[in-house]
Amino acid sequence: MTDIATEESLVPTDPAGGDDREASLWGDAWDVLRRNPLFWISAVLMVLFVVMAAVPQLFAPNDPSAPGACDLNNARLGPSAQAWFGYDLQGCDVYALTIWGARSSILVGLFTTLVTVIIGVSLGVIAGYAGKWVDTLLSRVADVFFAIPLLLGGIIFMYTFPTPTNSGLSETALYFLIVFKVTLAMAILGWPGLFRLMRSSVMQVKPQEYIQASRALGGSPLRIIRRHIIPNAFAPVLVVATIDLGGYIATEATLSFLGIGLQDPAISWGIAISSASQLGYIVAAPHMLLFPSVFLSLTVLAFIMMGESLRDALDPKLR
Amino acid sequence: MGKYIVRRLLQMIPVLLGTTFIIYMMVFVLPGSPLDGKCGERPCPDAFVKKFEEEFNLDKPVLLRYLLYLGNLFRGNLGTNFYGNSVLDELRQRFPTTLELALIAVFFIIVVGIGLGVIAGIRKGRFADHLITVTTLILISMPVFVIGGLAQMVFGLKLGWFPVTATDGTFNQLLLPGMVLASLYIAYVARLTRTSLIENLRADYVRTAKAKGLTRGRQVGLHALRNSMIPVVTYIGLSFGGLMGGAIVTERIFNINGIGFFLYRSITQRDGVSVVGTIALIVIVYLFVNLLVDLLYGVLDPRISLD
Repeated sequence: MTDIATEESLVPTDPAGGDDREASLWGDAWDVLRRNPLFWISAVLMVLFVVMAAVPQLFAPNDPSAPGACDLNNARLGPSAQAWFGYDLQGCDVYALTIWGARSSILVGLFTTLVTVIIGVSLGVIAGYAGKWVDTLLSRVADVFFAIPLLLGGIIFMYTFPTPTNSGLSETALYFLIVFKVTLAMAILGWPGLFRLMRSSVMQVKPQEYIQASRALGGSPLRIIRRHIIPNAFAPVLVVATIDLGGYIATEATLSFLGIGLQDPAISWGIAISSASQLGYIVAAPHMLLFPSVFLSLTVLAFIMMGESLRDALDPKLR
Repeated sequence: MGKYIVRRLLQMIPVLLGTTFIIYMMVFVLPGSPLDGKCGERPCPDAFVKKFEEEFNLDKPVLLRYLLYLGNLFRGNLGTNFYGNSVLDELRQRFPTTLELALIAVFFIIVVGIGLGVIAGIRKGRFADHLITVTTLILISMPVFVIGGLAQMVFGLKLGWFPVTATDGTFNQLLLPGMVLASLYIAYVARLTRTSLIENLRADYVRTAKAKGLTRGRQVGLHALRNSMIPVVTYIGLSFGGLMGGAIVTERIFNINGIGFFLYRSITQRDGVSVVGTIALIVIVYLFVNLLVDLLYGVLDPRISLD
């Protein structure tokens, strides 16, 4: 049944009614999305995790990093009625840690995606629209950044800019400084994908008649880009950015796991999993490993699944 | 074909210069001493600072320094860390273990990944297809260190099917880490194979094969699958960079004394020369692997080298 709906979206409608066609693409996409259970699952998960990141008090009233929140007497105790997910090494409630850990992941994921979209889309439009040497230059620069694997480049970046310790910064300032660093590290290496996507979609659209017409009617390049080129490339950028967001969350957690992303006292799933995955603790306290792992994977899953549902709905050719 | 090879080689040069330049700039030129907090817990000993400055020509102008660094890099000189060991020697010692781990991973990627992809592709829209699509989606969502930790807990400790750690790096011990390392790429390769196969099964030449009366097995195996493998082979080649990243995590979890573990240990011991040298080497090798894959792509699909 979904096939029928998407088949229709491929049929070109009246070429004069540009706006009509756009509306029907999104209308059709919504029809497909509405019937896709994976879309609803990922939407619910996404909302849940974003709310968790914004107001963790809603789920776990006590901030686990507050003084006196952890009791060493409880160290490594398993799940119980008081603490559903058990306690960690310091005797902190794993449930509270897991809930409060969502913030770092979501913040880093959203910021990184935002920065890569801004850099990738604007440079992509410039390269595709200007062509000639501008395009060559930007494309070669993008090649260079594309060639460095995200995790390895992230390690070098995080490593060569050590965070100042005992610099008199408040804990919150330090936290945002590290979040900013992780974001920057991944954004610098992450933009070329969107750049290439945007560039090729501009180059595809540019020679079309309606762009020529707009130009003949005296439309400025800025207007053409805003009214015709950006709306045209919006769908694929949205899809790729959503899937990438999941990847950035996973990479941030990996960097924290390796000890060069977020660091104690910041609360993050990567740090929690890292301290839980010492061999002795896996045996003695598997709950310490299990719960943050599940939450992290579900968050990544939510974004990737959302991206794929959007892709299936917006671009039936890719299916 | 000859023209294509030359063109690819020429395109490689700016990328190679660019990547090494970025790494170099990050480490040696940006504000802050390249040795700040890079000698473990204590400040670097004076003798090492002096040797380091000499080795990396810190007294010369930036561009000249970079060129000298590049020359050293291509002669295989990755520097000496503050323990007085040559980084290249450290890596050379551990290379066989990581290679073995990577080969085991690639074996699983090829056999399991392509196998699952073919099953999903020829049974498109049926139960097996949905099962494989959902399973691979879940695999993709689990970072390597999560899969590694869980696999170690379940298969190593609870069920006891595999050795828990791989300190000696024997084949038996590397089996589980290899699977963990492969898991993400198994999922990607399965999905890519599926998409590619479905696309090719719709192609005219497969219809022709069917019209000639070939069996389903020959249609798929002989005609469709061969063409579907082109993007898959490329992808497996390109996954090298990711595999090396995954190796850092896998080797840390399973205590494997390979290049990844060396890198992890260097990070925690704040051994700057080793971290930078190792990553620079991996990135360069990665670029050459990409080049090889691109050339192979040209051989597999002659259409590529014509444009």
